[in-house]
Amino acid sequence: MLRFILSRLLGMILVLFATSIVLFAIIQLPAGDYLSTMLAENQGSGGSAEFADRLRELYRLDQPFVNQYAGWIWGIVHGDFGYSFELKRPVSELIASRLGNSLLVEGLAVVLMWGIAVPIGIYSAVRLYSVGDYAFTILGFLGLAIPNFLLGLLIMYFTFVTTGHLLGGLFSETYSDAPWSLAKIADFLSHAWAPIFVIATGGMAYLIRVMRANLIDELKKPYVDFARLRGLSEWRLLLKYPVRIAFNPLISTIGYILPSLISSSIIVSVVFNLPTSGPMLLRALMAQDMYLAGAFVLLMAALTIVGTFISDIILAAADPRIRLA
Amino acid sequence: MIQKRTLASLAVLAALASPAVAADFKQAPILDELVSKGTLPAVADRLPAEPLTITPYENVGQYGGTWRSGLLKSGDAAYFMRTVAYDGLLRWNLAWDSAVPNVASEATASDDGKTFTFKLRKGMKWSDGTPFTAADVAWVVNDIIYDPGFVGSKPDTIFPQSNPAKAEVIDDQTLTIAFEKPQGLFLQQLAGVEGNFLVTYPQAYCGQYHPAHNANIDATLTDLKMGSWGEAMLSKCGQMYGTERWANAEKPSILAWIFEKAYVGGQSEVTMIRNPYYFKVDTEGNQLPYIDRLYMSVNETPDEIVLKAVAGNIDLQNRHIASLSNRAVFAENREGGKFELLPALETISASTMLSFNTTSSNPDLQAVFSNKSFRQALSLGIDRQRINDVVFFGQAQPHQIAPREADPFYDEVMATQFTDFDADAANALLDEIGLDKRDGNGTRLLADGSPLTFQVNVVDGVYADWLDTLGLVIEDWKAIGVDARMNVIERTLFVSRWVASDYDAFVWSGDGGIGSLFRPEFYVPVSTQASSFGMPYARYFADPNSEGAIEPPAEVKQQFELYRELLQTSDADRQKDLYRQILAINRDMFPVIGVTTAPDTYFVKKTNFHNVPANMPNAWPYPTPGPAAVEQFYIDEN
Repeated sequence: MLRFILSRLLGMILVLFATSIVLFAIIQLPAGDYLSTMLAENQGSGGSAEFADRLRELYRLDQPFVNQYAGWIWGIVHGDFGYSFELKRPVSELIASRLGNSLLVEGLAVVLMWGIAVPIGIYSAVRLYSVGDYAFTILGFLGLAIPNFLLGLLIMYFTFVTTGHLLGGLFSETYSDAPWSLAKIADFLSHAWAPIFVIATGGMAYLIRVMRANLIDELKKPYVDFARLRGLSEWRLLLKYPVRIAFNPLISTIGYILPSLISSSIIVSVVFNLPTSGPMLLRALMAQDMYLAGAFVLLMAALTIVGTFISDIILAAADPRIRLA
Repeated sequence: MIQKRTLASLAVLAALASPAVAADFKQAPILDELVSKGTLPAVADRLPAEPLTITPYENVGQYGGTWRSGLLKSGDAAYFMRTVAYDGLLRWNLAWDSAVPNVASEATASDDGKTFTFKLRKGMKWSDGTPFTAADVAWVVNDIIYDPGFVGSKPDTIFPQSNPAKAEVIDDQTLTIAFEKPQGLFLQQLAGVEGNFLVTYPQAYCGQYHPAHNANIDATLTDLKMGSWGEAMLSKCGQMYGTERWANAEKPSILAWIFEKAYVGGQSEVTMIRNPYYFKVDTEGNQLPYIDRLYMSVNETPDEIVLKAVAGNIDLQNRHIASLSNRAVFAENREGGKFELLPALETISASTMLSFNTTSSNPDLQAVFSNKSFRQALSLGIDRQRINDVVFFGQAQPHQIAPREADPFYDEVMATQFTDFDADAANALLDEIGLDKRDGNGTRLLADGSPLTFQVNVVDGVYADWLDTLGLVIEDWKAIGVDARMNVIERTLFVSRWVASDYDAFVWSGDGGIGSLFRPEFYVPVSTQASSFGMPYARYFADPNSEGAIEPPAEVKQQFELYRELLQTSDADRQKDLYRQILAINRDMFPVIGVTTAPDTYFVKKTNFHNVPANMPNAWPYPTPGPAAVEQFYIDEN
C-alpha cells in the first residue's frame, strides 16, 4: 500500500509539472498580453506605448517563453506565485482573499446538493415508478435544465419585486468587514441562500440519477433477497449494503469536487456579484493577467490530482473488492 | 437651440475666493469630538490662511450622509479621476470656458508662453496635517515626470516629452514651471483630468522612495523586495493612469475624502471618509465636504450597478449605467427607488464614426478610401432618418464628425454636409470615380476586377447603439453596390489593430463634439493612440523617422503646421483662429463619416441628493461630474 501511495505521489508531481507547462503556453497563446489590454482600456483616457514598453521590460514580458516559464515556476517552488498586473497585488494574497468565500459557498452548496439528492435517489430507487419518484426526478431535471444564470436572475428578480431586497454580494455593507458573529451569519445566509440553492440544483439531477440507477441494480441482487429472508429490517438492510455499494461511483467523483470548489460556479458568482474566486479567475483569463490565471488553473489542476488521489483511497477503504483488485 | 439651453442652465458656479473671517469657520459634527479630545487641531488651524470659498450650486448644504456609487471591476481608476480626484492646481468653471483657481490661488503665464508662475495657499496641509508647499509640486515635475527612472505613466498631455519643463521653488508658496518651448494650452490642460497628478506626491511620504530624497534608498528597496526606486514609487504613490494611485490608504492626500478602505485589487468595496484638512469652505464658512463618507461597491458587470440604482442604493452616478437602453428601466423605477434622472449634455459629435484606412496596404482599397468622392458617396448613401427612428427613437439628428452647436467652433457646413440621404447622387459619384462595373450580386468592382468588399471593425459593449447603427449602414451601402462586412472583435484586438493601422474600416464614436479644442485628435491626427484617421500620420507628426510613420498628404501636413503653431502660442484668440483653420481643412478633406448625434445622457440621482447641476457636459476632458465640485454635494437626511 505504501509503495502504491509513493508511486502515485511521484506520478502526481510529474503530471502537475507537465500541466504547468501546457497551461502556461495556453495562457500565452492569444495575441497580445495584459499590457495591451491595459493600453486598450486606457485608450479613451491617454496612456502611452512607451510606458507599456517600460513595463514589459520590468515584468519580463519581452523575454522568450522559456525564460518567462522558468521564472514563474522558480517563484512557485519558492512560494511566490507572481504578481497580478491587473489587481496590482501578489497572486498568493489575492487567491487567499477569495478562497475562503469560495470554499464556504461551494462547500455549503455541495452539502445541500448531496443532502437533498442522495435521499431522493434512495427514495426513488425504493419506490420505483411511484408518483414521488417521478415528481422528484422531474424536479431534479428541471434544476439541470434551467441554466444557472437564468435561475439566478429569476430568483433575484422575484426577490426584488416581492420583498424589495436586492440579492447580490455575500454581505451587507455593515457586515462585510465585521468579525464573524451570529448577526453576520444571519446576514450571510440572507444573501448566500440564493447562489447556494442555484449551484446545488444544477448538480442534483446527476447525483439523483446515479444513486437511483445503482441502487436499483443492487436491489435486484440475490444477497438482498437473502438478507430479507434472514429477517433483517428493511431500513437496516437498505443502508448497510446496497446503499453503500451504490455510493461507489459517487465517491469516485470526489476528485472533481475539489477543483469545482473554485471554478464550478463562475457564472452564478458573476450573476450574484459574489466575491469568490470564480469571477476573479474569469477576469484574469479575459484580461490575460497571466500569473493570476496561471496560478488559479494550476491550483485547480493540483486539486483535481489530489482529489483523484483521495477518492482512490476512500474507494479502496470503502470497498474491499477495489482494494484487492 | 442647444447652445442657448446649455448656457442658460450652466450658471457659473465657482465664485472666486472672498476670504471668510477665521473665527467663523465651522466643521462637520463628526469632527467636533476629535477636536475637543485634542486629537485634531481646531478647524481654523487646519484650514489654510485663505481657504477656497465655493458657492454652493443650489444652497448651503448640511453635513453628514454616505454617497453610494459603484465601480466596475478592479481597473476603474477613471472613476476617481472624474469625481473625488478632480482637484488640481486649477479647475474648469462649470461653463467649461475658463480655468479657475483651485489649489493654486493664482496662475500667470509669461508673455512668451514658456514660463508659468503659481501662488499656493499659505498654511494648506496634507491630510496627515503636514504642510503642503511649493516643493511638494516642484519635485513632481523635476524628479518624477522627467526622471527616466520612474516607470509609471505620466501626464503626457500637460508635459509632453518633446517639450521638457523645469520647476523652481521661489518660496514656500510660490513656484515656476518653465518649458523649453512655448506650451500654449498649459493652463487649460492643468484644469483637465491630468492636472491632479501634480498634487498627489507628498514629498515627506513619497520622498522615501526616491534616491534624491532618501539617502538609504537601497535599504528601503530591500525591505520592499523591489528592484528599483521607480517601481517602488509606482506601487506606493501611483502613476498618472492605472489604479496604484488609489490603492494606498497610507499616502496623505489633499482631496475632500481620504481612503478608509483603498481600491486594492480583488476586493468588493471601497470606502472613503472626510479629510479633516480639506482646504475649501462654503459661503458661510462651513468646511467642505458636506458628505461624511463615500461607499463604492466593486461590481463585476454594469448590470449590477443598474440593479443597485433601481433598488435605490445608488445616490449619484452616470458612469457605466447611463445608456439609452437603461433609460426606460430607470424611468420605470424612479418612484420605488426614490431617484430621478438628471439630464447631462452628451459631448460626442456623432455616436457612430465610420473611419476608412487611407493608408491600407491593399492598394486598390487604399486608392478608393483616399478618394473624397467615395467617402462623400458613402455618406450620402446612408439613410440617417431611418437610423434615428430605429436606433435612437427619434432622439438623435444627422451629424458629421464636427463640433456641435454648443461648441464655439461650430461650423454648420462641416456638421451637416453630405447628410441628406440621396442614393442616386451616391451611385452617380461612385460611377464617376471608376467604380461603375458590377458583379452578379450588384457589388461594384475594383480596378483589378475584384468586388468592392471590406470589413468594418466594431467593438460590442462600448456604445450599445454601434452594432445596430452599423447594421443599418451596411444595408444602405449594399443598395449602392458597396459590400461592407461587420467584424465584431474584442476591444483589445480592436485597439491594437487601430494603432497598428491594420484594418479596412472601423467604428468608434466622434469625441470632441463639444470641447473640441481639448480633443483635437479627431480632427487632426496628432495622437498615436486614438486619432480618427491616419494613425501612421500621427506617428509622422510625433517623429517622421519613427517606425510605421507615413508621410501624410499636403493638407494634413498643413494641419500639423497649424497645430504646432497653436501649441506654441498662449494668445487665446490666436489659438482659436488657428484651430478654426485646422477644422476648415478637415471639413474640406472630409476624412471620416459621422452618422447621427447621440441623445443626451443623464445622471441617476436620489431625490434627496442636492447641489448637482443639470445639463453638465459629459466628457473626458471635462471630467463630469468633477467640475461641479463634488465637495459641495449634500444629502438631505430629513
